[in-house]
Amino acid sequence: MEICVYVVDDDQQVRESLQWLLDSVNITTQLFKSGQAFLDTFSAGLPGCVILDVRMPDINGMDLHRLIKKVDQHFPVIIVTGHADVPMALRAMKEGAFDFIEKPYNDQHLLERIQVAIQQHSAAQKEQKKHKTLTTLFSQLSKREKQVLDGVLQGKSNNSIAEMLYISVKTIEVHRANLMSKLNVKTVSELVRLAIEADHDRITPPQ
Amino acid sequence: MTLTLNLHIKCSAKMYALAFMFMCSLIIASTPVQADSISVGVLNERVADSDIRFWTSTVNYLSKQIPEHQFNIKPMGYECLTNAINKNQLQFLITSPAHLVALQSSGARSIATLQTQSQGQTRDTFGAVMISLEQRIDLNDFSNIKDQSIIARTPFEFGGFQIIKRELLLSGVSIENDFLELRFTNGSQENIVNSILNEDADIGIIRSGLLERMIEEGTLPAHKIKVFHKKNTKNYPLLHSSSLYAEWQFIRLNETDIALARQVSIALKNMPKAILSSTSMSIQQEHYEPHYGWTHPTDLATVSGLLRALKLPPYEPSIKISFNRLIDEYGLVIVLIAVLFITLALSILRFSHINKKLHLSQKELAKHRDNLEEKVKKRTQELSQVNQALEEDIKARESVEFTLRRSRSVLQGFYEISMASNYSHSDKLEQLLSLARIHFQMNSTFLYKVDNPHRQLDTPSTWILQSFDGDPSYEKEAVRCIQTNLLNPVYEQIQTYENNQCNKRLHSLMIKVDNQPHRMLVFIGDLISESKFTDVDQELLQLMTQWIGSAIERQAIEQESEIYRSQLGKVTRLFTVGGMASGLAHEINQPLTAAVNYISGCLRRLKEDKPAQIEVGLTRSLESLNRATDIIRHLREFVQTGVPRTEKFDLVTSINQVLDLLSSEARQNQTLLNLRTIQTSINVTGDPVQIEQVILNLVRNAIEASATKGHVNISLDVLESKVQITVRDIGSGIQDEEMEAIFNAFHSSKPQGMGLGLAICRSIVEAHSSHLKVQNNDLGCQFMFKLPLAQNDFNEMHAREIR
Repeated sequence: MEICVYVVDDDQQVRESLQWLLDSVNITTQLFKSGQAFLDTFSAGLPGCVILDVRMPDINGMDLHRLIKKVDQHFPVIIVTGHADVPMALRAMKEGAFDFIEKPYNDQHLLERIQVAIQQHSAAQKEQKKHKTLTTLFSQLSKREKQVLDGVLQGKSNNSIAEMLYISVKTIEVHRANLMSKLNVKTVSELVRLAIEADHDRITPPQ
Repeated sequence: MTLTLNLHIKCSAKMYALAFMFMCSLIIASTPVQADSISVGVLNERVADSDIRFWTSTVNYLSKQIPEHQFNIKPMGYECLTNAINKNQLQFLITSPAHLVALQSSGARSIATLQTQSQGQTRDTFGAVMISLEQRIDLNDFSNIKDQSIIARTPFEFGGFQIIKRELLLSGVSIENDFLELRFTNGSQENIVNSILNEDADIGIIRSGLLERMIEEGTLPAHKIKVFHKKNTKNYPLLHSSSLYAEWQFIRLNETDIALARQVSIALKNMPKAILSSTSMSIQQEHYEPHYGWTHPTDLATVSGLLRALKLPPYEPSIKISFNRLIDEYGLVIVLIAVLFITLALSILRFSHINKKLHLSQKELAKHRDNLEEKVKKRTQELSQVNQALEEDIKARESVEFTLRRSRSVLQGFYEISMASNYSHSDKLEQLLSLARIHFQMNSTFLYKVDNPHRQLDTPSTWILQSFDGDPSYEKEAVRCIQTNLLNPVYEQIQTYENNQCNKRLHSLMIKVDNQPHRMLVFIGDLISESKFTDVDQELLQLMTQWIGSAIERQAIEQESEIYRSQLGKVTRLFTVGGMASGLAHEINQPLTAAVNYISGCLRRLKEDKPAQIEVGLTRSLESLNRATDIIRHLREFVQTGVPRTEKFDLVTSINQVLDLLSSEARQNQTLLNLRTIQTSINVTGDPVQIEQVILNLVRNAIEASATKGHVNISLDVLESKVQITVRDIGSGIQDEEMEAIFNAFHSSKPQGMGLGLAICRSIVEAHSSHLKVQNNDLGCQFMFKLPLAQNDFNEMHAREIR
């Protein structure tokens, strides 16, 4: 899905000018004139970030921020306001806003923050995706295969693994071949690398 | 279960009774008494077959021994027997000892007693037994009988119920009251044993010997039933729970021949023993034989004692009424009746006494009435005298009243003038002077201003004539009089001067403001004989000067407050601006942000060389900046405190500007602002800035008073030469008690409010020669004021109407 910056502001001029600015650095934008209009199209797992104005009719920016967090906890939200006070900013940050920027702002600063938000979010999303793939891969292994994998990772030979698990060397070999094909690796070194990644992500590696 | 059984027993008992009745009537009817026929009645209390057999064998034996007589037995119930005895149909009777004792008074005598045998011993006594199931270990004495039910044959049965009743009575137990239930079966005693076995009842009452006989016959298993309250009597081996009493008796009735009785007595004593058992079974040592034979009559003292204790015949309580019993039973009623009688007697005495008293007081009353009539006559004479005096008094009063009425009318005039709202201050003063002059019947009046109160007052040059009424030619005279006669005027008092030479009279009084002489009021006129300057007039004059004094003071204060109010206007303006600052910050920030966005976007595109796009961006940024400039211009126009101007301006445009200014505030409160007008422009004359401020204040108030999502309507209606501006809101309205106060400075319903807004609005509206009106309507409240249409517009509109 394409990376997109969502702009929610009730003031048409502000909305359109922001689109114009972001367009100049080749960032796609989508404009919404109210919080409800945005919530109607928003869903979890989207790339990009959202820029909110605090002072809006119906749903104000602070409330909208909370509602967005309910849908997607990791989605970056940048709150923009014309008259900020410290408690409001503190509250927004505490509730997990990516940034809180005061109007009128330095365009360079805003653009930088938008870029950072988008990058961090997409990196996090990628990480999450990898984590998910690894989880599915390792969840395919049977209990016995996990025990064999454990032995392989400890650098034990097939013979010593067989002794440890009280089964024949032949069976160990069959298990080993199965788990290699399930994890989609060809060599032991690939297997070890995958296992280390999985361990890093705390996906239950073999006991 | 118990109930049905009970019913069954009762039914069977009834049938028995009926059968016996029938039998005895049959016997009596069918066998008329013959010369040689001797009837032996038998009380049918014991209904065992063996009993009947024994009685039959006894009479058979007697018939054999005394062949000249034929003995017959007639078993009957108690009532049948009594009947038969009374009719002398019986000669002998076999019955219970209790029955014998009852019959003794009619001359019945025992001639033999039934003998029983058991364990080789013959006895002529028997007792009663209380039985229960063997396993009822809780039943040993009378400690827990309250929860038990007890069963017996009939209440008239001597050999069972009556004996046990006596026995329980000796232990302090009442058989009728102290048990859970007392039941009578009316059947045979074996039935009672069976009821105990079936657990229909807890305790049964039977005759002694029955248990032993039933065990012997095999109808009752041994050790199933135990005897309750067991007693031991020497030489009496049968189980028993009571004292022993004489056995059944063979009785000679009163009318029976004594010789025959003696013969029978001897024959019975010689009757072979156990004639029944010897034929049916061999005599054993353990055997119990209930009908062993007959022996000589026994002592009946114990039986009598029992009957006496139980108050049974012949010892039943006499029905004679004893005085003590009467007292015991009806004592309370008797006492009550006695008390009633005594009360009645006392009240009769009292009434007669009161009656006498009443008669006496009636006589006295008649006497008093006569006295009164005389007194009334006297009093009437006195009253008519007083009446005459009063009439004279009234005439005097009427003259006084006339004077008072005059002064009242002048006071009324004073009041009306001082309260009239449509006159200016100087108009009021003039009217007042004229009124007073006419009232005092003076030719002219002069009001001087005392220029310097600290200087000597005798120099009229310091006096400036302020106001006068009447003939001005009197002034010279007035000045002269004051100069010559009132060199040292006392401020507080009215100075009166009459000059007979020039035929003038004069009254003057100093008016004080802040306790300083300030004005001098002088009345002067011709001396007329009938006119009098009364005390009331003096007070009137005092009052008048006080009013003038306070009016002068009030005028000064009003001038001060006018200055103060215009200063306040400036202050509030600044406050209002402060309150709008945060709203404006957002308003200005919005276009500025947009402009910044456009321009920085343009800068970026500049490198890419896209002139068409850059032009679009710059145009838009200019639009945004223009919007910011507009907002700031609005603000500046509002803050500027211009000198009040009267110029022609468009009211619609002005109002739209104000609504623009308030739009962010309205949006925050989610209130809709509507301007309703038919014309697109209405030119009015006035100060545009001040009018805008009034409208701004009123609309802001309306927004604050409105609930969220309400609306505020501003409507313009052209009425002849004026346009009416109305600001309506939908809210809670203004409470009646607040109506008065809302225009006062520093009155506010808002926690942060200064309470100046409406006060300023009113003064501005009044400066435009209109009134700011407030009304509650059914939805909220509305404020209204009018502005004059500009001359051209006015003409134009009228021209249009005419056309």
